[in-house]
Amino acid sequence: MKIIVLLRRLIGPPGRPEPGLLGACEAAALRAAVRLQAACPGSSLTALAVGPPRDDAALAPAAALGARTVRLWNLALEGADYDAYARAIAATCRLLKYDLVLCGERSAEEGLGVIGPATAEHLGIPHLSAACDIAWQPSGRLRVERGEGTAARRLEAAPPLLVTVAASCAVGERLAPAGAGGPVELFDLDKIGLLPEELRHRQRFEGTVIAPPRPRAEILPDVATLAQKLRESR
Amino acid sequence: MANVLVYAELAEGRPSTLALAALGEARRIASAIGATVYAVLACAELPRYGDDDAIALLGRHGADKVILLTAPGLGRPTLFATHGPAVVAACEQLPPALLLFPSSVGGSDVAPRVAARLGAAFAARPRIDISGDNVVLSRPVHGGVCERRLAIEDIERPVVLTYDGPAGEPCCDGDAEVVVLTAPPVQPAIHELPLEGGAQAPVPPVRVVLLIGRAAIPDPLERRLRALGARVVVDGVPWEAPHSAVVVAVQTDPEHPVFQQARFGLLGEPADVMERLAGALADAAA
Repeated sequence: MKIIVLLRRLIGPPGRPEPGLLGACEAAALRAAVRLQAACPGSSLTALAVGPPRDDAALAPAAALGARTVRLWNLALEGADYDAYARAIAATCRLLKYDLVLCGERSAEEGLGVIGPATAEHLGIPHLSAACDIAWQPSGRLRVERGEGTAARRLEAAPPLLVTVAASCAVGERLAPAGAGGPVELFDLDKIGLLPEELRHRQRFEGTVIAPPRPRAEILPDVATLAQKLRESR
Repeated sequence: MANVLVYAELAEGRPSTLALAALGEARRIASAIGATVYAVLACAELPRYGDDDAIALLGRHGADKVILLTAPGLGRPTLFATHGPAVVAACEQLPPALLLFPSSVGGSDVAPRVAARLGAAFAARPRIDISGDNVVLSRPVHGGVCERRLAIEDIERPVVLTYDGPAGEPCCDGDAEVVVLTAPPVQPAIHELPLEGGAQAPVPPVRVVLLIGRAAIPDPLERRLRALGARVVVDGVPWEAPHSAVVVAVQTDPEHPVFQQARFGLLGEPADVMERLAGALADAAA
């Protein structure tokens, strides 16, 4: 079984300190990928990041766990929207070969939840989103449980498949601090068969980030006052 | 005239509250830009045409027309694998300038993939500002510290978005015209399994989102709070507050950035404050 996990380094807002390495969803996806690899002997794990050199750090935890690590970058992706990234990821996955692609359900910064499903679309494979539990079935199919509002739902599908993993997914062990791992392989667009022109136009669809003046929270004196406010807001 | 499509997700055979909310917003946008609102109704069998049935309800909440697609597999809960092809078929027949999905679990599964199929721009749960015939989508990024804005008129592609908001009152008197399309066959590669013992217990809807920065609280306390409708969010975890939820920041330092992201704030060690809040919420629920 060839497993690919998509990782990306957290990006902080302008002028703020660097946040942690991985978002909660990406960390959960990596934990799940390691567990699924271990549960299927003979499987391989590749961690893939699409980003500039700073994203090598996001691959370090996977490298320390023995995963092959690949980073793809081209300036045509700078400021491009989800679709350019999904196309690039899909093309890289095809090159690497895969049975299962895992990624975080949504990034902590943007929270769109779009990269996984869009990548599945460009790969032409089914996707399951927001997995909070994930395991192989004896049949070789993958069982995924997801929360749906106030309920839960259990689904299964056979690879090839893409699964987005929720931050609440508790599958796998806590990630150890990054140790030594193999070198990161660097891919460019020509290696995956894409041209910059195919992606660059998507920079128009990403919108503009601004920092509007924001009112600060109303500081309440105690929990009882908050409870009262919550009752009033119903 | 441009087309604004709305995916009319069903719950218990009726358009869901979130779907009606999205439809109301679509009506507001379409009235500003001069577009036709289509509700895309994908269901297992033909709905009835009574006064209180799905099609009448969609008409009263702003649909000019209802695109009806029926196939047996469309009776299942919403996934792209089950309902996506029907939505895509509707988009092929009536190419949308704007396509709205309710920001439900199902809508959030279908919307991004339909966006990729259409090569559309995508926004999740944006605030929608209309000035004249200009429509600007704004959504918080970096935990609400910044906003990303996208002006619809600046792009020459469809825009797909998920929408969360309260369902407004019925706004229209006339009946919506029904357009029947052939639903593509549903052959999902994804199958549902029964939930037996060990499945997650249902959790109540989120009423309060608690931002605590990089603090940590014990798992049992976090579970207690979740069972009381409070969701704890630490840095690095993507979060979104349902429109009906209150966002509260808890930290010791009044200058902490989380206080810029919340409506209310409490000063103190997050674990201590959470413990007291769990008690207060439990008392209120009793």
